[in-house]
Amino acid sequence: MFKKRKRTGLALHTSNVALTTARTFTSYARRHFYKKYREQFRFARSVFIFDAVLLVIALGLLILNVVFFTRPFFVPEPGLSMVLNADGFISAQPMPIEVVIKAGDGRVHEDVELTWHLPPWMEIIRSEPPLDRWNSIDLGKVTPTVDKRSRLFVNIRALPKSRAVLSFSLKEKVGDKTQVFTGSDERVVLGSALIIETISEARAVQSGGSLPIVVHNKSSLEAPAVILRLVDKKGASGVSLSEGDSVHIGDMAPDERRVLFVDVNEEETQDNSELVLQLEDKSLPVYRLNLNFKITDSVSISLVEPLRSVPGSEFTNIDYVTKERSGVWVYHPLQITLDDEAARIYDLAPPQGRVHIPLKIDERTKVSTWSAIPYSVSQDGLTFGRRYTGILSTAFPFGAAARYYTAAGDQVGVGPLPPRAGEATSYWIIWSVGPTDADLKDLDFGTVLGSGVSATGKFASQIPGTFFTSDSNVSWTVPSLPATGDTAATFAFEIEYKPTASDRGKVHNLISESTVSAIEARSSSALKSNFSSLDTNLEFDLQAQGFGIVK
Amino acid sequence: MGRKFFVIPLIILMAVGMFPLVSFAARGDHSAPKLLNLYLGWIIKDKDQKALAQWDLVVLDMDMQWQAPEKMRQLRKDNPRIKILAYVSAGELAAARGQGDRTSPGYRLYERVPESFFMHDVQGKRLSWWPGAHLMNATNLGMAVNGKRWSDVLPEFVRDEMMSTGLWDGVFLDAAYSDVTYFYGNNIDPDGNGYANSPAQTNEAWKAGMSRLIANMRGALGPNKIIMNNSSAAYASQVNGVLFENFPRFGWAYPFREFQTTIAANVRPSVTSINTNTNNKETPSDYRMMRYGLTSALLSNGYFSFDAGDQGHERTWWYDEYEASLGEAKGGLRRLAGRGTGVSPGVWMREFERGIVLVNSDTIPHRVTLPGTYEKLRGSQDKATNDGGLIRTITLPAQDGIILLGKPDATEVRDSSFVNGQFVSVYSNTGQQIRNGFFAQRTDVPSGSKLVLSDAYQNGSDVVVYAYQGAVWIKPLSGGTTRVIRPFGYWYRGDLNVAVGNTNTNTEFEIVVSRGRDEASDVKVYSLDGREQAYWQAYNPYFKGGVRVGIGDLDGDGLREIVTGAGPSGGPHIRIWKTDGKIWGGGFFAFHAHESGGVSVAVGDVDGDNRDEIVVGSGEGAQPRVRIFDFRGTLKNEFSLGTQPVLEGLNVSVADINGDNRAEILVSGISPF
Repeated sequence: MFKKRKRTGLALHTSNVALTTARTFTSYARRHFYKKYREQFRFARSVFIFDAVLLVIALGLLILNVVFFTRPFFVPEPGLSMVLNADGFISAQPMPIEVVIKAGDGRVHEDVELTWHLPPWMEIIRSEPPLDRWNSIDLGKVTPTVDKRSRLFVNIRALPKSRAVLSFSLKEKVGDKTQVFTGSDERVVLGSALIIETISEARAVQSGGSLPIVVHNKSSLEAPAVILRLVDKKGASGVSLSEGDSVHIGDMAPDERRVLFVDVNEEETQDNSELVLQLEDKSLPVYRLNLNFKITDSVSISLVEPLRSVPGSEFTNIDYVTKERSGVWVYHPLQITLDDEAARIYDLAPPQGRVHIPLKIDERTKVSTWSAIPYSVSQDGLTFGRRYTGILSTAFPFGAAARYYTAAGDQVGVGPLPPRAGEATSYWIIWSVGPTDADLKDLDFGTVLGSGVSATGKFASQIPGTFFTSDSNVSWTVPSLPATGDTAATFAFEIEYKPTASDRGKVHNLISESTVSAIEARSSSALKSNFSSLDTNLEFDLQAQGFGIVK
Repeated sequence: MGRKFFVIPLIILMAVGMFPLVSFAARGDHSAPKLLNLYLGWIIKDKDQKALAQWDLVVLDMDMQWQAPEKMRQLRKDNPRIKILAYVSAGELAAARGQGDRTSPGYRLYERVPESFFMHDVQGKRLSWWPGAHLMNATNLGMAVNGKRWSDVLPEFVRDEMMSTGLWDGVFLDAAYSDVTYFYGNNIDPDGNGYANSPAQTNEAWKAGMSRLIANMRGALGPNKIIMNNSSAAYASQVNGVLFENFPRFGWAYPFREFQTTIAANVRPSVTSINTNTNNKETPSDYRMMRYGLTSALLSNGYFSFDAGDQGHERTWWYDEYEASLGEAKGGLRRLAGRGTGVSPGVWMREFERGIVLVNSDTIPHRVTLPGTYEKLRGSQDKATNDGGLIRTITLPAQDGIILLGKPDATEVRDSSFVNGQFVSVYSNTGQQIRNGFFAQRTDVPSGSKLVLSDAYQNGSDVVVYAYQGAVWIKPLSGGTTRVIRPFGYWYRGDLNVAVGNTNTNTEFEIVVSRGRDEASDVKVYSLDGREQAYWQAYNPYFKGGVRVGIGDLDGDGLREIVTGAGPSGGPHIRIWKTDGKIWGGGFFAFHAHESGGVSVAVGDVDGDNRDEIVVGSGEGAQPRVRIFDFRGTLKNEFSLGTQPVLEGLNVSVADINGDNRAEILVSGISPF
């Protein structure tokens, strides 16, 4: 066969070159055969061929090993890359983190699936796209022109300076095989959105005194189940929080501040006390604070008790006596503060005086106490004294109105309007109490009817009580009134006015000033209020206003 | 022998029982105001068909039985209690009758009448006063034919040709004059001898003849049919009613006196009626004239008709006053102002169960003081007069009248729960405010308690069932011991809701009680003697909003169902249960599911279809709305009471304040001040 092709010129030279090597090898092989096999074995050729095959196999294995040794993953390069985008982590605050998956090898990657592996104290609030219950997301096809992203909003609950390791794994389909790649990255928790604020100048607390601290949720989300815990106290065995060594603060709204106290129980003075306070969010620590202070003798400042405050007032006052340069720290839920701080401090000048605490008049609160802690001022700093607890009574708004019509236009009065001499016109008087935030008891309403005015005996209220009239006096006693919340309780009674001829041309008084007194059940505080007199002009009845002059 | 003595009375009793006397069932109880319509056209116009069914008593031309019998039957379907009288002229016969269709009753009557049945003058000519109609010889002096005269033939005809159809409840006899010479002159020859009888003889003969005709009519029709006549009160004691046409055009006092005496003399039931009209002017808005006649009729238990006049009776003019359901009259009339004695010009008043009626028959206005506080109608027609206001005195214009309603109070709210002391507003099922709101305050029950006023023992004596301080109290109003039931234990002081109604086959009602807000959705049924009959939870045990309850017959099968509405923190969800606690049908959301303030519920027939509806009030913090559903959860009506959310939500109750057999919706919760 080759003979023919050898005779074609170029083919002749090519075949000669190609075959020379073959001839050299076969010549050597022949010589080796004759020498080593022909006269050694009965079936020399068979043995030679067998040995030759073994040699080929061995050589092949050798070559394979060399290849695998020099190349550790004998799989193709994945071609996918993952980039983690995450700013510095802040604990107790929702944080966005994002992974971008790119196909850098110019090829389309099929059925790509990403799985997040996050530390147990990292809570996923939201993910885009949504993750399944194994924290995986099917990214589908990743092409060189279209990157895929997985974005998470997480809440981190770890102490600042903790290290957060975020791991990922990528799966993709290559042919009929699935390949898995993993990766990880690390971030440091830089700070916390749930913090403890202290008074920086506080250096000491008197024995039996209190040091105020403020827990502040700076996050944009509610902080659930917050606990403040005393995890260490050196030289301060008698120090505690209000519930012992921990306080269940509960849920904290975004930007909410909660005032708490470190109470120094009666014990000997100490030069140096060290406390470690820890904030926990869902039982995981998110913030720690070291608090150092001395425990000293009593400060010579006293506040006059009892401290009382009633919402709706412009000020609450604190009277004091002091021998030294001092101040008072005040926490009052309705106090007007600077920069939305939870509390405020006021200077006290010796020997005595009064501090006016400005209040938000139109606000209400369900909180029933407020606190004031006097402190002395020295070169070393502030020394806090005993905590005084004030009673914050419920607001006690009281109103009265005379009506001929209801707000909706129902006629409840009867008779001529304006009133006419010699004829009777009836009206309804409405007393209202509320909104109130505390249960009240022993309410006592009263008023005196104007001349020519009598009570018809009809009354209406949803609150059990006793309505009583005698001559021109009207009284209504109510044994108890539960907190009304955002509404008001009403007490209505009917009166009748029959003008005389001498009343003509005048506006006539229907009832004199209305008064009410009550006892706040939780504090036993006595509350009082009154409302001005009402006349036939029916100031609060828009439909019947102005028909007050007797004809 | 003994057996005979037993059997004979039994037979008599059965015989009497088989022939009930004429009586009227309710609204039909033809209660005040009682309305008559003289619909004397030749046809019933389509547009009037439905409206005509609102009247209590309707007079139709005799030919209507031939012209439109199906319309007559439809009237009965629309108003099963309507009474329809056939217009038949007793004293005249219109020539047109003889020109009509040969199969019509009018023609057939005309056919039967020989010449001798007509009245003639001495020249032998027929007599006519009303154009086209000839006077009949109702006397016994005229010539009989086959032994019969007009006064015999007419009743027989009415019986055989008209009453036999079953379409009529009686007959209206027009032209039943008491004398004829006033209209027809003195030249009357009743006996046909060519000489005029003296007026006195003629009139006497006429009256005797007409009386005989009416007696024959009664004999022919029997005691159950109504006989009414026009033109004279002379036969009052023989008939059920007399029509006083054109009242009070010719004065008030005399006709009214006669009206009174006529009613007193009538065969029972009396249907004597006043017809007031606008003297053939098409002025339906002459409200004063209408009121004057209507209130005059109400002073004496009469019926009332208002139309354009004798040229145009067939009208279906309807007025606000017709809707006022006054109930039964309480006593007779009283003079409040005026002069003279007896029935004379002045202001007259009569009290009814649910209001009063005033008439000023004088020619000058009068200001009078009323015996209490009353409420004017909330009218859509004469709003100046019927402005819905409360009054104790009133100036009544001359020759005018007015209907005033009693001011409602807590005693009117029956068989539906309400909170003692709340101010309630009164709405129709379409959301129209139809009465002044009022304070629903009882002084015999603690303020703030939820109470139901009911004849729970079904013995005619009311009890108040109220929930207070975690217990249910049953207080008989006629005296006696108050029973206390503590459904959830002695120490339970939480909120409770109550409903009262029949949950089984015995007569007495039962009490349905549920826990209120902040509690589980427990529902219990108790007999009046405190025995627990049923218990279930409306929702799962973790739901702590409580439920509101109502009870009623939603599908009209005579069996009650219990309706629950979820309390605060639940969605506005409604569930329906059999009285033993088994679920009945599917539940539904009364408002949008995201509203979490709960709902209030009440059950009652608010649209007059004889089935109770579910009335639902929006819950805490929601915009105030009321919705009405049937038992399938299909929305039937709804209305809104404003846009500002109501913190405590609405409370709804249902009660027939107006006495019109249709419950009104009482809503509280929006502060009235």
